[in-house]
Amino acid sequence: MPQAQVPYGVPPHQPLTAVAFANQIGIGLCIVVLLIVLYTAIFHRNRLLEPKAKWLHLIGLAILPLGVWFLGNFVAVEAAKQAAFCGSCHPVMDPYINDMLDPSSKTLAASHFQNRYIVAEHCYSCHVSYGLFGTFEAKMAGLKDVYRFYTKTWELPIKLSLPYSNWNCLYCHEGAKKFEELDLHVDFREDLTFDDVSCIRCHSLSHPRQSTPQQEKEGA
Amino acid sequence: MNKILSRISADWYKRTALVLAQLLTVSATIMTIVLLVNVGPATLTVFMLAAQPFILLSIVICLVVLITTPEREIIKEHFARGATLFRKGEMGDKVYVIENGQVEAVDEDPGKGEKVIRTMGPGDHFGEIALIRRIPRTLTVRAVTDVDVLTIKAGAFASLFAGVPVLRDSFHQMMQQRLETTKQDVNRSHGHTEPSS
Repeated sequence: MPQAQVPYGVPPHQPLTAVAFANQIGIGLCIVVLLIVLYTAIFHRNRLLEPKAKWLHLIGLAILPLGVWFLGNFVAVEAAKQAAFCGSCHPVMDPYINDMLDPSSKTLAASHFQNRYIVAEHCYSCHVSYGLFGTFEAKMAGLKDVYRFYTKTWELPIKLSLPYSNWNCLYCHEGAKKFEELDLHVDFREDLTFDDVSCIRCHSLSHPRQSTPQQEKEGA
Repeated sequence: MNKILSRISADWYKRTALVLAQLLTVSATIMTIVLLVNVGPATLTVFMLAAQPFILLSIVICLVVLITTPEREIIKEHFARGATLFRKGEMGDKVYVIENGQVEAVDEDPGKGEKVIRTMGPGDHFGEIALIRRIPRTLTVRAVTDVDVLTIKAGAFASLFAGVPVLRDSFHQMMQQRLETTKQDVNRSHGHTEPSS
């Protein structure tokens, strides 16, 4: 069932991306910081407050680490948007990833992936608020999931922390020809905009249903 | 001298803070390298929860220490054996007091090589002539061994010189004596004969 050879992390055949570039610069910057700190620790060990050492501290402990912090964050957040990253919590996420890669699946996630409606960041694109702090909120919520994963305190089936907002669908679909041609969309526009009616109510299942351990036991 | 040394050792907490900042930066940098090489939930969590606070904390520590450490008028400096402390002809901006080690004052003449005029050790001071007479350095000074010196910047030296008459007289006397000796030694080394007075 799983089709590991399908590239679901980033679109293939890309030139040097901003993330890859930031990654290389970040590693280089880290090495420079380590060398400066090492140099200061060895050659200015007993003279840490001398003028030359103060400049080295300013560069090695304040200015360059700020760059390391920025690039680390950039790479981390961008990499964490990839479906491959979400899929790395295997026991929890495997059913979702496998379904997404399954050509016969009829779920919304699979159809969006199979038809490349979303080019990259397949999980992230539908599970982030498109507001100013959307990415930040998603990553902070994600830290809780990471905690639950490593402490093995997650519960199946996993649930959304907040009700799913239509805005995540409308962000791409509203205004599209196919969307606007359907009278129902026009009739329910206000309800859809204010989340009074959910898109999912009409549009089949977004992901495969996940059974509880109890249901799995009964099924077996 | 004791007061100066106690002032230097009183900065131990700033040095400790800087060492702490160095340790935080090194560990945060290593965590970041691990993250950049392999982004996964574990490395991302470590970066978010440990590396980021470490980096920000070390930046704050570093800036606080640097801001609260004003540019000192009297500082301790170290020169490795063979290093040149200053060269003949340069403009002087500080006076040196030797704490440990030895230096030699050398007269450098591009056409005729160089000659060691005098050797100085712990407790000796040099470099004041250029400041008092506002002339370029008269000799080159090099470290014969590894040397620790206290350097007094021109401003602080001028205050001392103007405010303590005894010190001023003593410096004047010694400076005169040194200039005479230097002149005689240089003339002798370059083959000139002193006109008899």
